[in-house]
Amino acid sequence: MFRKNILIVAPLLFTIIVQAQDKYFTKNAKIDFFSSAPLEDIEGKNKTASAVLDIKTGSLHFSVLMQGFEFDKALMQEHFNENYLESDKFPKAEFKGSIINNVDINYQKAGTYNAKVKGTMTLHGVTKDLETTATIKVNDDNLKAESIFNLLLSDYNIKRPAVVKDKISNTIKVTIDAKLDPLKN
Amino acid sequence: MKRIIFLIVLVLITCAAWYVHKEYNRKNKNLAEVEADTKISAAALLGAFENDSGSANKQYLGKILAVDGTIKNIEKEDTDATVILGDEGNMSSIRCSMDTAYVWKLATYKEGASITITGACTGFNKDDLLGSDVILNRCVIN
Repeated sequence: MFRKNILIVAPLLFTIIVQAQDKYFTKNAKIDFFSSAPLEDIEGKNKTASAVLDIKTGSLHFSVLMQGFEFDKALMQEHFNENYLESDKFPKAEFKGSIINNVDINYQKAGTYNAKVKGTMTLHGVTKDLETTATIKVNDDNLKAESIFNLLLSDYNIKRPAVVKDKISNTIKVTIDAKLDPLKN
Repeated sequence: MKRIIFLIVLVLITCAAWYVHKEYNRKNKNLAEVEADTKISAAALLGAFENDSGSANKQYLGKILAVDGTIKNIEKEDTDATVILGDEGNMSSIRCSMDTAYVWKLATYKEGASITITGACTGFNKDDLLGSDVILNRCVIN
């Protein structure tokens, strides 16, 4: 009887383990943004973003708390949260999408692969389509995902005060650096 | 009389310029040197966000919190470290991203130890798959 039960349960357990290893995650992804300005460059760094990648489907999800961006100058950080991103009203930014050439990435073989990523970005309460490229580095026990892309502040209804409009660029460069570990439930 | 007015205006302009310069170059506070806005347990803080994140955001977002809890895990990568406070059986936690200048203080702490950590609350990241977290930044050990 016991042996019979084992025979039934074992494949189920195996399926659960395999499913869990389809997903890789991090809660320490680094997201930086950089904006070049004549007066002074503006740079914010966040190292507490979450990300999940399903290597079976290519589904990709990033989320980041806006208050977690740190700046060299406190005043810049306060303006970022209070005047531009309104972080109390819109505390989180999210990307939901997938790697559209996921079949080209061999997650079983160590190496560096180019990924095409497509999805939607929600920032400042505005959701927009986003298409970019990324690099996926497959290591023995983790994955490293890196991407650099530009966002336009005007696309996300982020207003630059008229006084400094010419001094702050409408384009911000976003850099993603995430080390993803297998999700074991 | 004109000379006195000129001197007063000059002093005022100098003070204003000094204030603007000081304010413009102001750095974020070292949290080891400030009094926390609120002292709270890890369980109570997590419960507040899980019950009503909107209300908890109003109460805690951007505030300096001193949080008591049990260390579930310590994650280290290069010079960064994150202390995770909470119960082993609960996927949700308080994630304390350490001020890199204070990472060395973690050397004497292990999983299961009680600790009080002070950090700036950056909000609540709700996630049904990974577990939801309250995140604290620039954390120091009291």
